[in-house]
Amino acid sequence: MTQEKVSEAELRDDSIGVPDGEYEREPVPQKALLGFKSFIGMYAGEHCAGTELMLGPLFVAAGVSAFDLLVGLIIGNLLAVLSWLFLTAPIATKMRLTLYYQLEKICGRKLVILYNLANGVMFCFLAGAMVTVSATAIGMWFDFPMPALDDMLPNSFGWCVTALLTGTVIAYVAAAGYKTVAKIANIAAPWMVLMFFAFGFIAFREILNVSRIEINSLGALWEFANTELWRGGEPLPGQVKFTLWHVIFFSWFCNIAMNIGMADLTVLRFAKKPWYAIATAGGVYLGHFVAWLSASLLFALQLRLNPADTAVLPGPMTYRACGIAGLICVVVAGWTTANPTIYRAGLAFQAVMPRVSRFKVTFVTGMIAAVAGMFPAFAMKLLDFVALYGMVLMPMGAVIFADFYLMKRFKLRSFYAELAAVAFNPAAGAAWILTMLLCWGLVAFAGIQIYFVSLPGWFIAVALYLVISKFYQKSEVVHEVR
Amino acid sequence: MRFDKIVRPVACILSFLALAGIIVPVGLFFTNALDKELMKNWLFGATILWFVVTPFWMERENH
Repeated sequence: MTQEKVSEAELRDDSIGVPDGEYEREPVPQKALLGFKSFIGMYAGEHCAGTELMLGPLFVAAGVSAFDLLVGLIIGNLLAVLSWLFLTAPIATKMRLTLYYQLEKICGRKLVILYNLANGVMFCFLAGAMVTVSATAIGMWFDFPMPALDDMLPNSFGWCVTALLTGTVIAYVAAAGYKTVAKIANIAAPWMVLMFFAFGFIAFREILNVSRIEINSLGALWEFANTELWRGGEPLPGQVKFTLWHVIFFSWFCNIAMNIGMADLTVLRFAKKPWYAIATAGGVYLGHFVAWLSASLLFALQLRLNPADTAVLPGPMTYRACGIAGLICVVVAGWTTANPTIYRAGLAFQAVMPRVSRFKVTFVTGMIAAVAGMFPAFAMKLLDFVALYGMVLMPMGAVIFADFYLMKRFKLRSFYAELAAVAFNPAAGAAWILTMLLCWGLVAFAGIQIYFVSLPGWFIAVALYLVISKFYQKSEVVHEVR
Repeated sequence: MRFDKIVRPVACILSFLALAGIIVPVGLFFTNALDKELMKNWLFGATILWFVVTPFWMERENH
């Protein structure tokens, strides 16, 4: 069994319960296709994660207004669902291959390993942010300073020890008992969704009580939302000001690795019809609308009670609203989402060093995440990090799109790595790396914020892949003829 | 057999009660009909109940 096989089997096992080791290197047969309900259940639980408790407050810290937040989230999430529906699902249901197998056919095995490595590194730091989230709940019980909004480095010995211990436990469990935590995650999902709703309702009521405002009309509610919940205006120090466009693009692209980046080919290849991708709406509107709004209300309440307290710490915020149940929710949300993230990162790294045992690789990966969790930068700058994560993984999705839809129109060959039996397709590799460099250039030199570069980046990646393929495939053919 | 006939349905009912133990106190607090500390206690109790009883039916059902 190749590493990709293991990886895909585990990802599927984690998501929709398909047995390990099936259909990794062949199209999913008709008999194995799943109904619409399977996808509703899977996506509904997938997007309520520990990081939502950071992202919601960071919107408030970014000075977002009520209109920009609500309308931006509705539009951005809709665009995300449409991306799954019209970009990912048609390819997934036509080819019925895993992301990695399809990439291997296009890019070659070595380039897939590089992509896996990049994926693993990003997963590692994302898991670090989740460790930070969980550690804020555990740190509640001890008397040491926790990170502030503008802290990039650990600010106390107590925090370092707490984050490191939390991360070590998470790393060990991910390495030794991944499936047990996956089961706990399944069990926790319905409760966690309700807890996220509870955060919002309780914070809303408390802000009403503190403000001594009575709401008896929709107009009054809107006025209240604008003056007490999401006030707009200047962001908190060190934060980027978020407008409607920021919210739209962030909520659209926060899952870009899954939809436009095509990671969900692996999941949606089991769908009987492409329209099943509409099930993603349940997940994103629950996790990236309700959960973000609820978490943002927790932070709005904190600012209402003490405007000087700008620290985004899910532990104290949820404890204030829901007591110990809130803390349990933070720990469970952080833990259950860090667990598969570390596991997947470990699998990605194991592809590079297949002789090392999965336990060792996963544990070391988890420890890297634990160390990253000590640094609040990954959690406090999560908006930027999520955008960077999408930017790094998006170009490969563009390559798959171009390979599927455009190659024949440009008289080029699809699945070229398989056809030419090469382990590294330079056209795909150059498209990926040059797109990342160009996107970085747009951010560094053209003043375009990172939240927006993935859109032009996608077109750049498609164009680069086609143009370089035109030269590369032609020269290869010439070479073969000679 | 005994498990399927007795334990699973009872656990299932208790799980739904646990979820109600989250929704109802929050709803009552929202309408100013319940004290905050009491609501927090309800949430904690409901949380414990959920995690104790749900594994008896949810994971087994999945298998």
